[in-house]
Amino acid sequence: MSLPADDQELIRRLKMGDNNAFKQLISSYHPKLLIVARAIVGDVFAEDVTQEAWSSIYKAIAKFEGRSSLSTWMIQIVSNEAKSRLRREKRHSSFGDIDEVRPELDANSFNGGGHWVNPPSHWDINTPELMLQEDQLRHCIEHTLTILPENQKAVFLLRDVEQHSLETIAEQLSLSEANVRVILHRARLQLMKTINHYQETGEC
Amino acid sequence: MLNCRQFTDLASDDIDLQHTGWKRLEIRAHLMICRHCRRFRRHLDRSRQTGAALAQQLWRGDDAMADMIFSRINPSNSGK
Ligand SMILES: [Zn+2]
Repeated sequence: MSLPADDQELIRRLKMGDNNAFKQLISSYHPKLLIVARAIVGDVFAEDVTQEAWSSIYKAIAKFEGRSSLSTWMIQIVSNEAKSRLRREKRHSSFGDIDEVRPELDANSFNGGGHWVNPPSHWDINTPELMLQEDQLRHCIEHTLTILPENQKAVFLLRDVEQHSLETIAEQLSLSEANVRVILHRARLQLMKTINHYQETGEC
Repeated sequence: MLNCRQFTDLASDDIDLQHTGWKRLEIRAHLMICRHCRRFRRHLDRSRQTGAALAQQLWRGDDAMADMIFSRINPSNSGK
């Protein structure tokens, strides 16, 4: 998967002050930065914070050194903007650390000894490529992604789409690494549930 | 010894290679003997990949959005 932000040619143009390249960057990343901002500072300030982050990115891009990926660097900037806004507004993070440790599967999946009573069933549509070719399933997954709680959306984005390390994500979102892992597992379980339901019923 | 329910709690961490040492061995040993959990892990991993591929397409902007955001940062444009 080649991300636009890993594109050396794009980075070269960005550093030269090419505004079209910058617009390309905005178009690839704005919704993602917004998800991160929302997870930290909440819906009300997210748009504003992200706009500020773009201004900072624009000013700083000439000095981007490539020590981290462009994605990590931009997320760090929006995360800093969001955290400082949070302090200015004297608000608490929209999601602090969570207490529950175990993301529940259906309670009746296991017996008292922890063995499967309803084991996972066979999936006819088996690979990501095939799943995405199936219009209805695609729609079901899109819906699930859209309604994920903001913290799950952000963690899933940063880990499984942007492929940041768990340690980096914990820092970006001001969470413990253990919490990042629990939230990530929940998001993945939710996606799996959706796909599983479709494989069994042909519906969302 | 690890049971299936415990494995499902650890499956994401296993995918992210977070386990080392004894825990890792325990997980390998369970997967070796349990086809249900092997399938669970495979499904979870594919769900993650499929979701990520779709999210990559879904969470993108377009030219109009980019123009609007850009106009608000570039002082030579109409923005602040
Ligand atoms: Zn098992």
